[in-house]
Amino acid sequence: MGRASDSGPDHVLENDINNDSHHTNNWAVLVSTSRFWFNYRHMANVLSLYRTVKRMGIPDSQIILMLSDDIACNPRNAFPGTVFNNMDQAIDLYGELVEVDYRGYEVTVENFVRLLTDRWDSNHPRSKRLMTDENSNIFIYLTGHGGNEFLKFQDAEEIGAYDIADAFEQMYEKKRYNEIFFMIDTCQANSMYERFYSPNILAVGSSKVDESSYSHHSDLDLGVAVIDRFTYYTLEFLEKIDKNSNVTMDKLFDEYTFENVHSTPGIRTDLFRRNVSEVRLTDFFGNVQDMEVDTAQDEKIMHIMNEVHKQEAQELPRESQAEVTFKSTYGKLDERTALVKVSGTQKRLIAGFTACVLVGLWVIAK
Amino acid sequence: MIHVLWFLFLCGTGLAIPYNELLTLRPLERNKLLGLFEFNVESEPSRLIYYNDLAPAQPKAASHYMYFPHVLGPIIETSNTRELHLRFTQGWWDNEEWGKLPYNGRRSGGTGVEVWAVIEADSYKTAKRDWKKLTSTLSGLFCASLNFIDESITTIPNYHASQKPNQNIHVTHPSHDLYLLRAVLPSEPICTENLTPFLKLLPTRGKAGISTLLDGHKVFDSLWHSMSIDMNTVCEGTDCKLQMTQSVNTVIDVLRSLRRKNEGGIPKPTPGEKLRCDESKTYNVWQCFPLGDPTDVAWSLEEIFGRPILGAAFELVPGSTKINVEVDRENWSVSVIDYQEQKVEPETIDNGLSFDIQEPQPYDVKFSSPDSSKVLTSDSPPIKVARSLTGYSQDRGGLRTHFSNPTTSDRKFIYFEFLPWFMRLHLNTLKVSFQDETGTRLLSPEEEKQYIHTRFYRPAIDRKRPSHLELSIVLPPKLTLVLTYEFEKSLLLYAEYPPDANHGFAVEAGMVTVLNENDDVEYEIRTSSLLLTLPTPDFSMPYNVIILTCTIMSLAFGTVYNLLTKKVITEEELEVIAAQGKLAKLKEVLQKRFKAAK
Repeated sequence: MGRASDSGPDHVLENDINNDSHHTNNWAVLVSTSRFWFNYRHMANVLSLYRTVKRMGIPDSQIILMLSDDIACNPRNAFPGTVFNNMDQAIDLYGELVEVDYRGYEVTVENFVRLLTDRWDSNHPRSKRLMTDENSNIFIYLTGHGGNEFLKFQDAEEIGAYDIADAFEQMYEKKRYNEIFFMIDTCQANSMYERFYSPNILAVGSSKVDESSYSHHSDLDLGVAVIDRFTYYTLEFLEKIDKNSNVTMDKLFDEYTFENVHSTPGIRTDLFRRNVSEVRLTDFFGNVQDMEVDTAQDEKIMHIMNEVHKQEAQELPRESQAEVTFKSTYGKLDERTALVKVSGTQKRLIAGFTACVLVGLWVIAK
Repeated sequence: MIHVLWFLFLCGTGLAIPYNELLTLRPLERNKLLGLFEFNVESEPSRLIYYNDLAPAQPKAASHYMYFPHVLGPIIETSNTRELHLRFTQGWWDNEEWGKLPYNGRRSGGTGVEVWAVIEADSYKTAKRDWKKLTSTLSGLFCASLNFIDESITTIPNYHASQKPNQNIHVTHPSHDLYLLRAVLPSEPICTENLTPFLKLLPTRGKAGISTLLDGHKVFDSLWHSMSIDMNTVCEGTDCKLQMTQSVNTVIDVLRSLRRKNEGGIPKPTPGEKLRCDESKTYNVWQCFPLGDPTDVAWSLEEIFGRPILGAAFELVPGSTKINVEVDRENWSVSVIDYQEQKVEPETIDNGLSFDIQEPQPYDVKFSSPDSSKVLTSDSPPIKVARSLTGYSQDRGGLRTHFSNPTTSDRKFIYFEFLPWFMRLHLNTLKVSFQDETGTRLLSPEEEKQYIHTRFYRPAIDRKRPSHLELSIVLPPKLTLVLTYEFEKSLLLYAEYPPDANHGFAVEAGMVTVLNENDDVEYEIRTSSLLLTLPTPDFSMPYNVIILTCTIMSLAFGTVYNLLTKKVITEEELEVIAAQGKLAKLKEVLQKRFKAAK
């Protein structure tokens, strides 16, 4: 069970073990990274989870679905408009109301990292943005072909474990999440989460370093493998869960045995503040939310609003929406991460001072 | 209160609402069915507003869209779009069997996604900015990669731009002009995720009326399908309203749909007792010459689409939901039945029957015919066009386009072609030849002018704009004109190749606009799009080169560095130097002290 055995409550970062998630909204980012028809199963993996999170109540506007190739209407598909994850062909994952946010050539490392960190130009449509805040629980699922500390995108480029770790750190700094549940189904998947260093991330992977992840079975009518083992057992468990379920995460993790998956799944809990045996699955897969009761006094809010208006009046309107929201939401509330606004003269002073110090150092060195 | 009463009154008396839908069904030869779904909607009239991104305060647009889709309205207004046309087409239209394209080709694009818009702006630069904004926003709405539209594929068709798009549009400011911009994504797949937002634009959200038949599994299982959206601004005085027509056109293979329903997606061999054999030929237990498709048919829409029409779009509004069936009434019996098997009384129209459905209950359309091959004859298209790639080399290629006029009169048309910048057109190689019963003959430049009246050519600029060829041609009856020219394939930058570069690059369809005597558009047809193979490098090569170069550089640098910084000396010389060194002196001093201490 990989890291599950050596982690426990003593690895919890903060002392106050609080088993309420405190999130007010749920988001899901579901990414398949492989192109070509023979990678049918990766699209099926992702669409299975898409169906699950939608069934559990996350609306389409809060699901970012990245599908790297068109397989539903692929000329090779004998069943146009459908994607199946089982040879019994009982559930059509494509259904009638699928909304794909990024497809085909749009599924790139750049777009994925931009999505996580929300750095886009001003024309970027809202439906393609991850508009999370510090109260968001995000479920991130990646599948594709990978190796030690990398995951291939489209057979043409790759994302490194460090890239994802840094993107998560940036998200943490920008207060873009409350908790992240990161799931990855690829060869040597566990290497992808080893580099994470930001708090409140729970991660699972399908196989350890030097191990492959395997597909579950093939559908001979389609002529391709339809689902991967790790995802198959994840889904088999999730199918039994409904919107109001209180089943906890550790029950899902119990499914991840070598007998089922044929590789060694890994679970990383050391960054996560809560005990997995008390984390409900619906905290990530569902849309059950806490209400945040605002206790701030009215005049305080008015003060903040005034400040924001003043700031907005000063700034050029060309700034991206995200930056403005970021400033208006966090700019004055939290001193630790507040943005320091530097005026032109201050900038020049700082530059001059730095130049003097450098010159001094050089003279001393001489 | 008065408004509510008025509204109820309107509903009660069944007065027209700014929405109607029409399903046209037309059986084609060899058991095919052409289904045309059309949805028309209008917004409330309001004053036209010019939205300026850079202006500090924005005028508020009236947001009373009524039945007009509320998601599309603001997008159109903030990008100053006065006209918008979107096409999502896949499949191949069979001219020979199916005749003219529906709506004279005005509502079907080439393969892939086609979008063009008329944008009001003070300059071309502003228009391009709004165009970028429009296409990126639409990409989110329609789940298509429209955000890939940039200036390298954006084009302005001359002929269409010269036709002032809509005389009724008033620009909001005299200094403003209307700009037509167009782009095509020929390799864009079209699937359920594009149909979903399309249906959500309807006031019925696809939950009632004829749109309930539009299920991705059936639409995309057709031989040819085209979804289109046409939005226009229509002004009366200062009041302007948005008019939109959405349509889905498909050609369905009836027998395949029925087989799929009965047997599933994978065809199975027909059991012996069900084989239909031609008994005029050798026929016994072992031998069977199969007959063609059966012609004595009876099927219903529910069997083909998997469900009935779920009631009228709007209850008791006459004319809001109509079904027209274009058939030869002597050969076909068509009836629209409701849930209680009651027939809806048809109205006879020019070439068939028309049904008006009003009740909120399921309806089905039943077709039967003793000879399904007897269908209404379809008009032959005025011009036929075929384009293909020639040549097989890695660096050069050619294009050959055939135009033929099957009619009995002269036909004037505009041929209009955009080629991506990486196809470097050599216009000097353009040759026109002439084909009739007697054979093929190359035309001299003087003779060319007889057929090709005007030529317009604007060469491409790498990564900036595509090349643009526009010819105005007059073709005498029963003649074929063949246009050939060559191009050079350019190498792309490493990062410009798509992940599946070896699959080839799609080149958008050429477009033929047939004009009538008054120079108005009579018919539109597109060629098929092309798949061009470009020379692709070995993508692992850069890594090999980097690794090899680094190895050689480190070897060379190491050697040279050593030579430059180190001096080669003999062992004796070293001893002399060592004896003079500071270490040796220190040792000497220590030894002296040691001896003295002794």
